[in-house]
Amino acid sequence: MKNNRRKSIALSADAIAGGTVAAVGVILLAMATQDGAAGQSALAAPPTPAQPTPAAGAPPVAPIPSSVAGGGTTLHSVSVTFPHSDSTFPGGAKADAINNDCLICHSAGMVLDQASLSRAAWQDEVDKMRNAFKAPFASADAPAIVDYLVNLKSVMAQSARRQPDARHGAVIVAQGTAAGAPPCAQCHAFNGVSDASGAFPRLAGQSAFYLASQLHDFASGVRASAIMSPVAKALSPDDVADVTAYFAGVDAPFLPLKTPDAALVKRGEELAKAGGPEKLHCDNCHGPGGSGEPPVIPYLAGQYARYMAFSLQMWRQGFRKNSPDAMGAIAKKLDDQDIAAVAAYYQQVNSPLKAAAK
Amino acid sequence: MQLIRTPSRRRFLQGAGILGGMAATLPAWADSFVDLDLPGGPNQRELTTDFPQKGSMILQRTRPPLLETPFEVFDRGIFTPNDQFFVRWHWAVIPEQVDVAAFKIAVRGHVNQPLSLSLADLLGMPRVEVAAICQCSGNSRGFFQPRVSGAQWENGAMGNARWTGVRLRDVLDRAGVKAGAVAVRSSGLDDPVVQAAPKVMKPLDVDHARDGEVIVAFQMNGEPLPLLNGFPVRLIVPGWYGDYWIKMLSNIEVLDAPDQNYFEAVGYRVPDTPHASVKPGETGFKTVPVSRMVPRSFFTNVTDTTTVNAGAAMPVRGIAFGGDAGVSQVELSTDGGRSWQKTALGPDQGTYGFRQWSTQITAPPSGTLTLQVRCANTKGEVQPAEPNWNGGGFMRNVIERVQLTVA
Repeated sequence: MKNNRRKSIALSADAIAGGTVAAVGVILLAMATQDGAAGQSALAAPPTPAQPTPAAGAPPVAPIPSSVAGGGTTLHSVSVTFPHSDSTFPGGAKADAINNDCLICHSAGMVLDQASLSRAAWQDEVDKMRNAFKAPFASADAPAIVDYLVNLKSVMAQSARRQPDARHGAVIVAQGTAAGAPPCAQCHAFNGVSDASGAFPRLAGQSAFYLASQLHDFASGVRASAIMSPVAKALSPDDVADVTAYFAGVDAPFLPLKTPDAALVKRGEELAKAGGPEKLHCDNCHGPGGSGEPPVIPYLAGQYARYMAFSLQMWRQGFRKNSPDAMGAIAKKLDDQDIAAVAAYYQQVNSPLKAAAK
Repeated sequence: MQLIRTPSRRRFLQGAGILGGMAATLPAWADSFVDLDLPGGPNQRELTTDFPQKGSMILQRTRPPLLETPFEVFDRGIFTPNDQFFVRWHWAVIPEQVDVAAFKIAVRGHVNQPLSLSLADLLGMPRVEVAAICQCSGNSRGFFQPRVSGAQWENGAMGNARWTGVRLRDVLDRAGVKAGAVAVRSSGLDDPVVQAAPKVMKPLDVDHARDGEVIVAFQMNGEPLPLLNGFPVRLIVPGWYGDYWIKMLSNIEVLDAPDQNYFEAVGYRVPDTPHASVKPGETGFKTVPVSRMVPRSFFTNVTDTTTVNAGAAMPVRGIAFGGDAGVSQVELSTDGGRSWQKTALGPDQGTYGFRQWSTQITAPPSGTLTLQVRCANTKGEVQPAEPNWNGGGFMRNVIERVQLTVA
């Protein structure tokens, strides 16, 4: 479980590598910070919590903390951050369905701590999740999830997982692999910030599980991409684990992008926080202010608007087939304006320009 | 005192990772684990201090949070500290910020005048204070045999606090309950991730809601509630299980027809049988909502790993509660339940709170010593000798036992 949504580079890498970060890793990671030195001031600040934006011309909203008093008692406003769970269901491909479908709403811990239960008992649980609690997964996934849960104890016993090597990941990011994968840094930059064009997503600090599942889907073609499919196919499972561990551990600055259209941002914030008729609000799954709910749900805060809009269009038009029941269904309820608005909103959440304006 | 104690029944495994497939990825920030005593396991849990405003807690689930109170906390006094009070949320969308100036409680439905109460309104109303136990209806679920699904709690999904607030009756009177009202349904700021899923809400019969004991509390042990325990206000339903104690209470709805929401009509239901007990596999019984609590008592200074000196006199103590009535007596047996002796009760701090009990026993010359403790409430209800069973793992209150080793 991680306490902070974004950890410092050294701490994250240390956690990933189990305290065995060697000198070479430290040097590579130090390069990662220098890469984005222009944004260092923003790096020092924690991600900005989502706060209501006052309408133009309205008096400024009283900032938190505020307080209320009466009868000798004073109550102060509270702002906290909940920790995240990093745990996923072990077992590789056998766990794909349960990881992708179940971790949207709850972490794995309580499920892993269940006693051995009968197939009927697990079937009841999965039925309850789908029918009563409206878990957004296809009925076709249910048998795989039930099978996994029935065999949970043996899967856990067999799954002695290799420890990801973020140092090796950094080498792949910088140099590519002998098997033909190009250096990730060519498009995504060594620190995973990519570039201001927004053509490539920001990867820095994204959860390793999420990044690995996307590489898996690029390789299988569930997520089609002429660029990423051959790259993903050239990476071994260990390479994927190492590269994603590396990017997950990078705490890189956000680029000072300009957001030209305040009205569009405002509309996007409304959709993100409150949704609309028939439209799910994004923050429910993606965390407050789009800060992410790792391991399964990626952060959107500070992601490039161009990339987010492109991804939503791919889902909407059916070209991106991973997450058909969640993102596929949601994207089809959004029109072009909605997509432009939420993308514009999330891009500016972590902008250093915004922080400087405060 | 001749008591030799092992450090704890719970074995703290510094830096060790024994979570099966998780072992290889044991992160540096997981500093300790705890072993529970559940039949058949899994028993390892992380001890965490990572949750805001909370101290060391047993991590049952990160999201939505399920945090159990380490049991040794209950030996330190009958009021459970706020920072170690158990935490249980159903859905993951929980506000991380509460602006007290903007917070409102809606009072609506079958009333003369719908209200939007601010915290300033509440703080200006007449106050009451009550000591009361909040206990998850699934507390101790991990001990059910055969095992059932759900949060695998040991006995720490309970806590006792002094709650300060205003009577729900006074709130309802401000709005004016219309004739024909049957129930008062409450819900909070928390929401399901998937909007189509049922929001957590629980109803009370209108007479219960207006009995003057149910309160809207803004203080817990003299302090604001931790956010995870329901800041800024939660409903306190003394003597009833925690599913009625709605956290971040923001909505009070007076109904003119019985509530049919999921958590009343489908979830949180128990067999309408003595001790809510049925045989595993049994079907065809009537069910009713989980509601009032039943008596329980626990040992707090001895466990199954305690060793005592042969022939030594030793103090034994613990906590008890009567459920929806006060504690009448707490008795101890040293002979497998054939005979029972009364224990001394600590000060009565409120009908619905914990009561400490204590006594002294003499250890036998050798072997083991089995102790049992049982509570009777002022209604004459006594803990049963046989454990109850139901598919939800609810309302466990069997007589507790510990087996000490004589050295």
